[in-house]
Amino acid sequence: MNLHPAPNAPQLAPALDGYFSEGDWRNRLARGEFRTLGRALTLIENHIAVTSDLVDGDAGAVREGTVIGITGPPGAGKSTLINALVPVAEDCGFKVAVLAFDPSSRRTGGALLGDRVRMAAHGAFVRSLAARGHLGGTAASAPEAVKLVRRLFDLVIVETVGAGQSEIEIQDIADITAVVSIPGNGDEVQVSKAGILEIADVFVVNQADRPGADETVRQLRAGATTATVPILATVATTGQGVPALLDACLKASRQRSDRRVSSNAARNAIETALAAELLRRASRFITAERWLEAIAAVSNGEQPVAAAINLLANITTS
Amino acid sequence: MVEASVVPAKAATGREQWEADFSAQADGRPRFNRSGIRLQPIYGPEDWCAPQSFDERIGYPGQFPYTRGIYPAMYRGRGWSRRMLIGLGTPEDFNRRQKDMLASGSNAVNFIPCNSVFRGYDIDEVDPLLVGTCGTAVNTLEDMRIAMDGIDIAGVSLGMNDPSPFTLLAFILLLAEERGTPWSKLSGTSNQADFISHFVANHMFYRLSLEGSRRVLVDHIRFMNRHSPAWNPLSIVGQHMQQAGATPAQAMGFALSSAFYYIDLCIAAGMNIDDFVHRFTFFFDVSISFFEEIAKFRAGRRVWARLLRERYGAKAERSLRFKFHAQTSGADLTRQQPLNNIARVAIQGLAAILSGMQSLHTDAYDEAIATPSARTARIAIQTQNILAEETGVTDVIDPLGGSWFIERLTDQMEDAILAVIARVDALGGMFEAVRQGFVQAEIGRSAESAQLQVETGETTVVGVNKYKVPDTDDHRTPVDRPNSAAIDRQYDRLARFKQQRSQAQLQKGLSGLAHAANHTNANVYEAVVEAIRCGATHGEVVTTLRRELGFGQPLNLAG
Amino acid sequence: MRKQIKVLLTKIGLDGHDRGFRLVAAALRDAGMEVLPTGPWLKIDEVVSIAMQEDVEVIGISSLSFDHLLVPKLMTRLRDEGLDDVLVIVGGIVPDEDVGELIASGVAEVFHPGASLAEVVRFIEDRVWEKRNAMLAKVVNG
Repeated sequence: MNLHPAPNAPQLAPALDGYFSEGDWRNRLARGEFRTLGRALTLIENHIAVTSDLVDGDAGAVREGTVIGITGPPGAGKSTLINALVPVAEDCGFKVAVLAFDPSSRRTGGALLGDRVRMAAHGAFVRSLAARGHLGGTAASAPEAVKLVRRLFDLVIVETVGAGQSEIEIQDIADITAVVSIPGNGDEVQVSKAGILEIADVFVVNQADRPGADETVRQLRAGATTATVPILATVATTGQGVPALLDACLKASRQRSDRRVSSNAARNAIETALAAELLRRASRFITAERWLEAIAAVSNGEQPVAAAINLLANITTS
Repeated sequence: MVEASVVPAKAATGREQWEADFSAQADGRPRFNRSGIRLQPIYGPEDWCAPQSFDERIGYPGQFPYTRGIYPAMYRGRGWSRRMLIGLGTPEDFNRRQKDMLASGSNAVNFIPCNSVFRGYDIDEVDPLLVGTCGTAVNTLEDMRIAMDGIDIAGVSLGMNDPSPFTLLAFILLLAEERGTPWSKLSGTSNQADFISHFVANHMFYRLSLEGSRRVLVDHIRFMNRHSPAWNPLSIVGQHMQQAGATPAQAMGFALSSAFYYIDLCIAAGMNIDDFVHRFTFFFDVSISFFEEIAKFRAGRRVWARLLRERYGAKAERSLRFKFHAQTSGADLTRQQPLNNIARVAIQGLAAILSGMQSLHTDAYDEAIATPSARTARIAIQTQNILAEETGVTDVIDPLGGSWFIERLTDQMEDAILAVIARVDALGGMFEAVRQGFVQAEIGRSAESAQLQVETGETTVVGVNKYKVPDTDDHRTPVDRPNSAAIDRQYDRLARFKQQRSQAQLQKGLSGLAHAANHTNANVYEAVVEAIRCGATHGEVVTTLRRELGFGQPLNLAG
Repeated sequence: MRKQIKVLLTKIGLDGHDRGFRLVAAALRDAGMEVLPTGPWLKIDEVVSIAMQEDVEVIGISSLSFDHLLVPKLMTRLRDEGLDDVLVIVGGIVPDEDVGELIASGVAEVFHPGASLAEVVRFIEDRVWEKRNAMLAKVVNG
């Protein structure tokens, strides 16, 4: 495949200037201004730009934020836990951002982005992103989104649904991963979350005020893969145990050791990232006129979608 | 249905002949009611006849299981309370409208405070644009004094729509003290004490955390039972569920399950069932699904009486009586061609009467879109008056009893209600079922299904998806708004009240309240009344208890 | 090229009913949109802040009990923050006589009881694509 810019393709940089409308958008973004960051993340989410298009090496101070992944099955209270973590982290002086991933409907492509009770009390940046068909627990744009956000914040909390064998890519994106569960019977803890258990740097037993919490903690301590991992009990609704959780996460991220990744996971990660990168590059070389032509042709019924994209793809390979 | 092949060959029976003729003429479309029960085209003795166990299943009014009514004489002894909702503007506005209603046939109070009050605020904590639009702004004892001026609070039953911590009732108690009326003479209901229903279906009313609401409710029940034995400190609200989209059977099933939850709470707090449950009452929607509603309530009475005996060993007669207030369902009313709603309300009201309710509010024709004006409210009360006094339907108790259809439908509704209760039981009771989101999901499914049926035209809504007319000014109802000068005066009044009271007394009252909240052997509601006696406002009481007992948030089921 | 339409569904003011709200959220998701439903009782500043962070294209306000009276203030704040491009719709119970003021303040449409979910979906799709195509045409034509 031979990709180089088509003669009349708009260069990305001036297009960005047009898109952001504020002249000093690069400075605003470097400062972490919410509006500009929100729009920047949309570009990343839709594979139109990457971090290096949006930030210069020397525009403003660059932070090297710690990325904490919070994962676990639905109903574990992840959102409530994050809402409790944020003010604790802010009190410690951290500038905090939250990226929350939700699954998309395979049938319709739509998504209900979790109803997150947002507390006005905290000043964190919170952004929801839908998986859009991506398997693995986050979204295809996740690595790039995290890459941008960690330059701008001290602490980035990434929330994903993690309930099975395959929703484990959070471990590649985050510095450390906390797996959240709730008190349940022992079989559930060990069996249903096999796979998830292996990626945990920290375990959290939330809703620890419910019966069975001690038992769950005991089982985790006794488990083969889980025995050496810190286990914390929290009650997210009251904030109990949350400062200790933050401490444990930060400590674990400092002690991060090399982790081997399975070849399956590696292949998935490469394929996903390559597809995203190719789409991004291809989008650049298709002029706006061609886009509009293709859209018109398909909506007028002159062309099926397959033929339209064939034409567009050929442009990028000629 | 009798199968022809089973009967030896002879002349066709009337039933068989009818079935053949019916099939030839009928459109073949099956009919279902809102609870999903299939309706036959006709019912006869084969479908239901007075069972051997007539006394167990039907009985007479005032006798277990109360299917036909909870009192022997029903409306021949005492009519139902014509309890019209009133809530608008300032205390003066309330007073004027209430007197108007009392003169027009209403004989009980049904007080709706402003949304700001529901949310636990005094008016100086919210945007003035929102004050007095849908309820009366009452923040202080002084406000209640004005609202009830010239109204004999011991002479009428008082329905107070005010959730935990029941500050508005506290105003009434202190007003009674001022007037020399003993608390034991007061009768009425704490209409919004059912916090489970708020959790599920009407979050506006949910002020304190779950634990806080629980604590205050138990203390409130104890306090009112002691001081005001004719007061119902808990009304379980099936209406919220049905308004949110629950089918009639679901609304009854969930309400009864909620009642069991509250009974368990009181028993755990050391109370004896026959000492408190007779003061539990219910509040339901009555929809325009005419026969279904009647069957729902007949079944509800029967289920309540039986399960109170079976589950709780309740012995006293009074414990087994299912008392309820009914409100005609606003969800059936339309914005289009609003005058049509008068017909709808009349039919819903008739269903309520034939259901044997103890108290009734009939909606004004514009109730779903605005706060009723004096004019539209008067039509609503006259509707009740006409039903009660012109139609003759109150001359006979449970007139539909014995109808093959109604008795069969009552049995079927009972089965459906019991099925809902069983599912809730299987999840560990109503609280667990709500916490796990089961109740909300079931209601959501029913709501979606109902919406779809309207959008496809399968369900007809006259004026909305059939028999539509262009939207002209004729069909628009003018909207009453609070007078902004009067609202300004209300702000001034509150400011003056706050300024003129003793700060020392206030601090004493509020710290006493905080103390009671933190000590389980204290009665929080007693401390609420005391705090108000010390000059606290509604908002100050709620703020204190939110701080000590937790701020109520809608249940967040995600993640 | 932006893909899914992102919609913030929210309630400001004092009301707490959510029957219609939930139905709309599900309908929009089923139509392929990314829906961000909030709880009730949000302050106007919170709505604006969420809209910025999430970069939504649509804000849907569910309003009963006269909460719509606050919407003009929301529209002013959105304008102040440079968010006037966002499509704002209001659904619920709004007296006919108040609709004009809402539209004048910048609300695109008011949906009353009786409006079908399909209508709401179609309206959002039509308007959002109109805006997107206009923006794209601007880029093309300079």
